[in-house]
Amino acid sequence: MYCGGYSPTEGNLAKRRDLTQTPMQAKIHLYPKFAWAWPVNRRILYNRAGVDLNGTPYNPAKAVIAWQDGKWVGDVPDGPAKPMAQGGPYPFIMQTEGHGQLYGPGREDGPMPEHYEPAETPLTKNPFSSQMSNPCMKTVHASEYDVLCKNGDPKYPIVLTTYCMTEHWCSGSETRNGPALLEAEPQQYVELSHELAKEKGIKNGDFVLVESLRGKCEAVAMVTVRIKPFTVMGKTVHLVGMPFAFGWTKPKCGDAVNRLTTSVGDPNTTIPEYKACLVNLKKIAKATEL
Amino acid sequence: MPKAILIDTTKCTACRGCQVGCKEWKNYPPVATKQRGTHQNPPDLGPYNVKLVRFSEHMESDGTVKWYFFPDACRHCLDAPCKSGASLEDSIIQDKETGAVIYTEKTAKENFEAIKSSCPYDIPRLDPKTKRIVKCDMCIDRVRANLLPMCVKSCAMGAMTFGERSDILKLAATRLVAVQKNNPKAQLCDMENVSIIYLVADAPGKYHKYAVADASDSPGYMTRKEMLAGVFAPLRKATKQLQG
Amino acid sequence: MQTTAVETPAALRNIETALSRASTDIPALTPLLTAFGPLLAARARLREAAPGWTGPALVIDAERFGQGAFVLAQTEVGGGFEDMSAHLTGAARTLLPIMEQSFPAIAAELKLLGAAIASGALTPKALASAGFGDAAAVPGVSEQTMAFAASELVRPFVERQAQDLAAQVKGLPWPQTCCPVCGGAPNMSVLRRVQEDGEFLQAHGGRRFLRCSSCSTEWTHKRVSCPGCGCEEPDELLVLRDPARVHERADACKRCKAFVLCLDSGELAEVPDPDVAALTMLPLEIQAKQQGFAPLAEHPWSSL
Repeated sequence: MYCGGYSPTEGNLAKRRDLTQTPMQAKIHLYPKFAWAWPVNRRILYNRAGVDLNGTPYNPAKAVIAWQDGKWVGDVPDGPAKPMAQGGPYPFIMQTEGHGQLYGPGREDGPMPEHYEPAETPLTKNPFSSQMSNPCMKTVHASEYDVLCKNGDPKYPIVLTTYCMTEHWCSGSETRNGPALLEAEPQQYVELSHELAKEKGIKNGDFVLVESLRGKCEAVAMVTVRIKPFTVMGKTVHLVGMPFAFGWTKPKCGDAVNRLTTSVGDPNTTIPEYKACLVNLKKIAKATEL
Repeated sequence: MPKAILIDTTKCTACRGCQVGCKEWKNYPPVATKQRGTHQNPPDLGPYNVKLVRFSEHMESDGTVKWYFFPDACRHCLDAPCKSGASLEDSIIQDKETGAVIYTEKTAKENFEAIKSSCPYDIPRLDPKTKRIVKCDMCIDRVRANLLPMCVKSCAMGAMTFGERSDILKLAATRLVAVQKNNPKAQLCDMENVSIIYLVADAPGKYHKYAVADASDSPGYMTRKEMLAGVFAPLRKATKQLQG
Repeated sequence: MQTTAVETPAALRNIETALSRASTDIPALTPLLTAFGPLLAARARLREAAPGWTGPALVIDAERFGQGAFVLAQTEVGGGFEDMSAHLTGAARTLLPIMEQSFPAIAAELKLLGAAIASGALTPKALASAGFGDAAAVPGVSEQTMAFAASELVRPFVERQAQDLAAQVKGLPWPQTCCPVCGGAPNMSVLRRVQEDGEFLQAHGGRRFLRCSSCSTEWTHKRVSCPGCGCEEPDELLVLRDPARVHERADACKRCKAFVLCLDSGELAEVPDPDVAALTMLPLEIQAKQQGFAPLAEHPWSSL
């Protein structure tokens, strides 16, 4: 992995901090003498793909390399090979055919991009595909909480998305201890449209119980024009949003929204699908978590 | 030389760095708040919150959503009605160097309601413990030490600029022209009368009820706008003479 | 790294406010401030009135510039600033009386020098060369006084020409620690808040500008590195400062034993003129020298 990174004369090349560059390199913020790029200090892989058959850059204003007076200037060329017009190979030298690829071997899913519905969806039919959700997604079956609604489940017709906020860092476990930050964002809330609020008889500031197949979470209703109902395949679909910055460690600020979300991961890295799941909500007179 | 701050609300993202930074610098205690269905928290300015980012959202007739942020605090009026409305000479003073309007500990002896109602921007608040009337002091301690006011220093978006009034007026005019290209209703709020100049992209009332000194809702005999124009000063003298 | 050669900050008001503030803040420095302050102000006035670069249009080879060939190294007129001798007699009439007032110890010598310039005994050409370090003899004027006075006299014209020359290379990469205009060494640095008119987060720490000891050009340079040897090891780099004046520092390097003064202006309401700032940092400069560090370049007052 460190092959070529140590030279007998210059020592550890990764420690270099020389910002010398040519004007051509400056245009693309390339610093060839800063640190080291394995294995031959080439900064942009397959850089010969940026030039035509004669080695002239397709975009001279942002050239990575260029063939000038019988040699390459700019980045370290792949190969090193001459321009294709002079017998050089195709630029993607690490691929068998020498061409760029939209996909390669070793992935769980693919090869072409596709729209799938989330693991939980308010729809009963995917309008773009005969396959509803990703057949390769990673699921967990460890407890009674690892369950998913059926497609278009009438008991949980509302889509929940979760997000972070400016005032609290990630899950808020540190920032909820900062009094001035907690003063600015004190409690769990759920943002919903005026239309949904009317349907459910919820007023701004009311306590709301948000429920999924997996759990429940109390929140304060934030009725806002910033969320609008969607019309999907002729049907109204409501979206609500909740931050994931709250949790039980700080009493009376609300509990974690991840009690509602699904335990589903993407096929390759198992990054969880916290951006979409199905819930229902109702007004409650009294809250215990808030 | 008088100072001024331009607050370009079109650059504000309501991160509330100014609100928190102000509080931390002043060492004000935290206030217990509740989520009430808005990000604006605490709900209003208070004795321990002299800077507050106000949120307002609007559904336009064409279906677009406008979300406006207004980092509210004292405007440091050039001819401050609150100063004219004070009964003591030195309870409310204006710093000659900067133009900052400063409430001293003597405000505890003032009639809070009178001072509050004289302000066209609804700024003064009463500290129940000390009985002092409080508001932003333009970080006069910092400015005297050649440091930026805390709100300006903490503004991550560069929405606030502090400087000589003459320079700030120039900058404000330049920014207004730029913002007006896409927002014909953009304006600089009460620029001639105040040191803290807000650039808003839409009608000021859509940001905050008291974004500008408005005459429409004022109680009593004198409009807030008239108070701001300095009409209050002779009245105060007259009252004093009457009271002996 | 781009050369953002900034214009010397619009001078006079800045110099005067910085001087009066410094004098209030550090009464002990008042003698130094009253000695050099009027000189700095007078120099700024002369600079504002001085002609810029009037010579042939410069053809900058961006490639060579990127490799470290500064602007004056690329001119055809012999690698120097343009002859300003025609203006020096006038400058002497303005500056020498101020210097006489400020520096009583050498007032007599300065009087003799003024007379020699007025009578033509010292030609403007010889005076100009003395300003760049050549020897020039005037009876009764020491070598040291001659060098000091002459370099102060040429300085406003050098600075004004440098402004024009710096504009020629604005935006070109310049990673060097010497001046992109004249190749001089930095004697000062400033961390400046750079307000960008963008829609993104603004940097708060400020960009580091090195400032040329000969022509006052400023150029950006990476923040955490020694301009003397390029060292970036945290253990080797040292920041000296007086806890009471946190925005003033001497950035020193244990490896090459060099230091450069630094004004950290990110939080300052008004960024003082860098020359005045450097003047107020004399105690820090002395402290750095006492700890065995050497400046990359001196200020006129450094060796007082």
